[in-house]
Amino acid sequence: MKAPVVVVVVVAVLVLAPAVAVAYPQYQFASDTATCGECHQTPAGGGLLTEWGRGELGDTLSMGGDGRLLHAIDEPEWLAVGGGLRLAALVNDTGSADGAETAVFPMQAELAARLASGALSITAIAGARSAARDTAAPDDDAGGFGGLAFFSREHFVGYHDEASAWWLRAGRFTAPFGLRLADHTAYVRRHTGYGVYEETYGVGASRLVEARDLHLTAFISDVLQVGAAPEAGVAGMLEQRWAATAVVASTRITAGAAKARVLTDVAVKHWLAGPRLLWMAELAGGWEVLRAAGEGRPQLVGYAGPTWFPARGVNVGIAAELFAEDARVVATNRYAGSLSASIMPVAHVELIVTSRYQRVGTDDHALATMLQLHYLP
Amino acid sequence: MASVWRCVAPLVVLASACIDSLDRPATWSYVHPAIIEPSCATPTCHGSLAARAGIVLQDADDAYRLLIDERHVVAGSDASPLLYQLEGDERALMPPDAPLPAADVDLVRAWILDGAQP
Repeated sequence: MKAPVVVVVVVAVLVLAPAVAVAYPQYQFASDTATCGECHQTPAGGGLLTEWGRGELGDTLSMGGDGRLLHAIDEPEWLAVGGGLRLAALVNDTGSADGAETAVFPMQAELAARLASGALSITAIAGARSAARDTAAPDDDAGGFGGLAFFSREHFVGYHDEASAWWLRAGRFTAPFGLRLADHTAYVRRHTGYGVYEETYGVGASRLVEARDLHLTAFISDVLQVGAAPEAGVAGMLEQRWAATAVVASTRITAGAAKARVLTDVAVKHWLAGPRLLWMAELAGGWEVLRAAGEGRPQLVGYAGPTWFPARGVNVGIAAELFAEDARVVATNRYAGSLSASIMPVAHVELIVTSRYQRVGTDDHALATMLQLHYLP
Repeated sequence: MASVWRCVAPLVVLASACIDSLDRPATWSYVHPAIIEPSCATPTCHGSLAARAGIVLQDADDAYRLLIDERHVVAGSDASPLLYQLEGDERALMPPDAPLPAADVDLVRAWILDGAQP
């Protein structure tokens, strides 16, 4: 095959089949790795993998295989490439008059790349965005998926001074806060400002030392690409680690014309090596001001549960969640319980089954079961 | 003991401050930022990015005009289409992933029955 053809094929594979490497906080400790930045090319995890992370992909996280790019390629120091493809099938029963909703859809197809020269780097994650439901139909019939459109979740310039352990970033990226679960439907993501496409533009500083990570970010909402309501904010996160435990304290303050909110968050991870259980818990509490109404309300968001790693490439997790949109009004609380299983039969390929029951207020519920096929190049 | 009290005190204050769901203001200036915007105007649904079904509910004034002009809300009417959608009666449920708490739907209803003022 001629060189240009090879390039076209490789690019096509990466664009059509590539993936997001999202953060998997349950792999901290469980993968013999103490920090997110060891496996990821970003200071707080998520996104492209380092050489060490690719090694872990083949060694400890999957049942076997070669974790390198496209199973065989050693990336040069100045270039990291990745991405992901996520296909999903969903059954969701909300008690609607329409009956249970079913859908099969491409959840995500992204290409990620990082170019580095010395301490400087440029990172971008972009691809097609999709949705479980039709975006154009006047009524939301079950099935189908939203039209694919180009979208870049993250793009930023980074400066990493290894001697001082400081990281600086400017651009669009996730401002570090809390556990940073991969599941965007988890209340601790959905209701803390970290839902789908809610990454912000900003500048961030991170310092990663042996037992401690510090992240500070000043940000504005994405009014250009997402058309979000204009908001500005700051987020701070401090993670302190011991041998098998990490405690994470975070704060996020946002202010806009319509709302302002202060959230303070404490998260804990504890690894029990004997039974191979990773316990994770997170509780965020805060106060939201609704300016036009001249009202305020206290909010609580919580998550707790263990993930069990019975064998290489397999993990099973259960979790309980709480979201109190106004903690004074108990009838508006949402509770959720979930069971998920992940199997990575070979490096790069992951099958995930998740079933999640939500109790909404006093009378309503939703039960969703989702199967995902995830490929990381 | 003092440190335990410092942790527990905020929860006690919170619990003692419990209010009935309809003690909240049944006004658009409350209903939009407290219920409609966070539940409906997400980037993948009725935010500007996805604008599902051509409906954008992000800005309070624009959302109000749209709901009234397109008769999703009929002032004073318990038969407003928005209420059917929020309850999943005769129409597909909104939001489609999980219903709103009935207490929130009741507050939207109270706003509509009270004249659906901007």
